[in-house]
Amino acid sequence: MRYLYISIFLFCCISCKVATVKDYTETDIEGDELFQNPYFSSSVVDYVYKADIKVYGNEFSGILILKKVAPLKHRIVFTSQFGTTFFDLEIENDSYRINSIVEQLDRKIILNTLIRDFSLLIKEKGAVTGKYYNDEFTVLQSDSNKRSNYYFYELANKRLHKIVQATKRKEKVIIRFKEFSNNQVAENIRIDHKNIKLNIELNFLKK
Amino acid sequence: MLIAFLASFSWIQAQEVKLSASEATTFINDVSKSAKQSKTIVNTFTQLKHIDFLSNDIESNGDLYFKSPNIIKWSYTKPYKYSVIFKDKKLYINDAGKKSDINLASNKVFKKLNDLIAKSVSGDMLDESQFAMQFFKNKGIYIAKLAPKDQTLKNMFKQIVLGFESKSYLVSSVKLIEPSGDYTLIKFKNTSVNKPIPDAVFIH
Repeated sequence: MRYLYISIFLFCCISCKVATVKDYTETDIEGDELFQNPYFSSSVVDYVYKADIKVYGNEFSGILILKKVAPLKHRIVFTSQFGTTFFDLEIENDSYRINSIVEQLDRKIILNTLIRDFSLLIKEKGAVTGKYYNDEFTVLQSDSNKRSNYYFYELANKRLHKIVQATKRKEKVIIRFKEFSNNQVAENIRIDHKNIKLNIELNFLKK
Repeated sequence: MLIAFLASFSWIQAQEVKLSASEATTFINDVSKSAKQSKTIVNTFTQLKHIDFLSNDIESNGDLYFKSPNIIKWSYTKPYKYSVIFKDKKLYINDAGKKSDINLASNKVFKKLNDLIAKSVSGDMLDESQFAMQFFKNKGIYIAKLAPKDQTLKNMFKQIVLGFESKSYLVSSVKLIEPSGDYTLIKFKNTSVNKPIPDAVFIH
């Protein structure tokens, strides 16, 4: 009888596992293992992307500029092709500061979403709370603010392939990295939301 | 090092000579005359976006077509293909084949920006009621420094600096300086005036 309870309990745990890592095998975390995201971690690289943002049928195109300006601080500026600034903000740890933003984007829901997306995009490393694998990927789970972030690394080359942010039940955001250059730059990045109609595509601008 | 820097700074300052009131009036009239005579302008441009925290300015290049009074096409060719046509109170965008348009009548900011850009290309914007103006001469170039009076423009730019060729009074550069001090500098080259532009250029 006791075994039955344990089995039911275990079954619940397994079935509660978010779809993201449903078919993966769980494994032990190695000591003080950290997840790593190298794509915005250099303070000498100007990360300059052409950005296409689709939000509820509206499309915005512009230039998204990211720069690591201090060990834990990134400056993020979005401008039009003509160079006029749509927004200019700073993210440091879990806090942010808005230097400027145009009226049309200055709405709480838009801002919160953008800040959350960019924070996820640039976060360099952090503690791991779960580890999974299959034939293709090792997945490191990291929990923050009621959400879990799953970092997918290709087994073959240990490259970060995607990040999935999920609540206990649902996937919320997926960030996919593609086309890599020598100095750890992801030249194509897609940020897709599952619960709202918001997609961001970034393409690195070469000189 | 510091002395060398200060010395070079004062040297640059010394090259820029402020126009007297009468010289300024003559200059404004000459620019206005040249702008009125420019029915079409075609040239190539280089755009530099300067942001203080970046190691390098962001450079883009392309072709510009202007037809009096206010049809204008910016055709970026590098580092990506992107063109905008300001025409009939609309902004037509072609983003590497993906087409869209924005109604300027319903977008105050875009409309003001459009007027500003159209006028800065032809040089027909030396208007005391719109800008606080100062004029300088530096070697072969006239320089107009304009501070917007309109609040919408003021929020975007603290100053607009136009460079003019001293013989033709054509605009050779536009610098849009944001309140933060970051700027966009557009330099024009290979300018030809009053050459017919095929209608197809302005078709979306």
